[in-house]
Amino acid sequence: MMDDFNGYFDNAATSFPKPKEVGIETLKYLNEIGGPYGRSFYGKSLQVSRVVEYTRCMLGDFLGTDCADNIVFTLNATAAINTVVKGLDLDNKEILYSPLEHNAVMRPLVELEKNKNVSLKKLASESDGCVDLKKLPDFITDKTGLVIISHQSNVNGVIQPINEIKSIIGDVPILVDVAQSAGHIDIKIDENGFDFVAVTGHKGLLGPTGTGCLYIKEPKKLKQFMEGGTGSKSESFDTPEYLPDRFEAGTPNIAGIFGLYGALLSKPEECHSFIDFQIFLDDVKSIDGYKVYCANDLYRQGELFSISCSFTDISNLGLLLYEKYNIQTRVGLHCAPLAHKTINTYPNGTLRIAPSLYHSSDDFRFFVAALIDIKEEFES
Amino acid sequence: MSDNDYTNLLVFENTRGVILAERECRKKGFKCLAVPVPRELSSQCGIALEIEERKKSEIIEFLRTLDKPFKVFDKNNPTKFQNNKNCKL
Repeated sequence: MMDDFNGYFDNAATSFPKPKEVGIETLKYLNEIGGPYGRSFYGKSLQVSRVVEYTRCMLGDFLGTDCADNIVFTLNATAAINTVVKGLDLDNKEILYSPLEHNAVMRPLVELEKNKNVSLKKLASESDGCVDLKKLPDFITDKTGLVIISHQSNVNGVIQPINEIKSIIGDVPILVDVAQSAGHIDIKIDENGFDFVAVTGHKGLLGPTGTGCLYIKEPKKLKQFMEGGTGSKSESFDTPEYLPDRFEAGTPNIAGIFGLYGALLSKPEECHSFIDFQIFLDDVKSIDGYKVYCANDLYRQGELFSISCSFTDISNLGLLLYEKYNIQTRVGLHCAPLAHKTINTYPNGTLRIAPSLYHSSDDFRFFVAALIDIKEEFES
Repeated sequence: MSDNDYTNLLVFENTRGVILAERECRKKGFKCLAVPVPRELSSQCGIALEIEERKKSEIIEFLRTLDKPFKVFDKNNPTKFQNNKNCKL
């Protein structure tokens, strides 16, 4: 066993470790500053309000938009997606979605279908679930109300061509779920004219859980699904029309936002290159007995993938990796049954390998050696 | 700096407006103070910004470029509305 081996390969669930600034800023809020956001004028409250607003600005820079005013904090990407699906007027509309969507998208859509007159249509794709751009125009009709695309699959790491998709669908609104890609891939909201972008803070951004945000290009088209105190226009029972107040009723997760602020301030050094990751992927592919689920084309590959094996079931494989080598992975459907159906791994699922920037090529080599060891033990 | 130096009060539509205005003022070297919104103006629990009298015009002109709507009031006579340009409150 390597002494300094980083065995945490479940970063698609949540990232670990976090940059030290995350803990420093979170504790600074909890132990030193305290106070509410946007409700009072005294020093503590002002300091909190500054950090919250500066974080919003930093998220705008990070996501490639000059309109940080159009970013609202949410609990996570799921809350951001629900805000759009429940807040847009989609009655009598068609909603298109990619074949690699997570249940964060599918469950709100199916619930919407039960209660409203909407029609759900899965887009055509390649065998890895990458949206087929040639067939995309055939799906667009005058009833198309929304296109939802998960930028990077949480199962096989396929990066969808969101820029090309937006270019093809034109004025039809797009909701891009960047839960897995933010922090790994530039999003460039303004350059591509994305309408809605759902972000989580605790994965690629390396912030704490319970943080996220939603970018809304045209707020007037979206209704809030929750009302409450905002610290503004308090004399009225009506919710303020302006952002971020309209979508931020109630006290936000201030400790979490401080942590996210720390994450965005941090400049963690990458411990491996994409070529190191590519070698890792190729090495796993080369071991007999394992099947790898990844993008058909390397340029569409994000830094996560899945495997299954022929000699034991994946739950046992996951347990052996953990008990013998302290390698922590996630086994199952990864809350994305649609994606598993698309890549023919439903209902068993896969074992997912999701490194972070903190993994070195030595960590990758150790993982490969562990997979070979396990396979050889079954053969002997 | 005495109280008399801060005689103008800017009221924004929300906290984000105040915080960004404060940050931009400080970057430009303008002095400002965050204070509670006077009860005569609003019963909301928000924050207003006091700005220095001698640079009033300069600051107001500058803040108009931020696209953050605000109203200007006389601190000592808050009900006296001074300026409603660029204001959507």
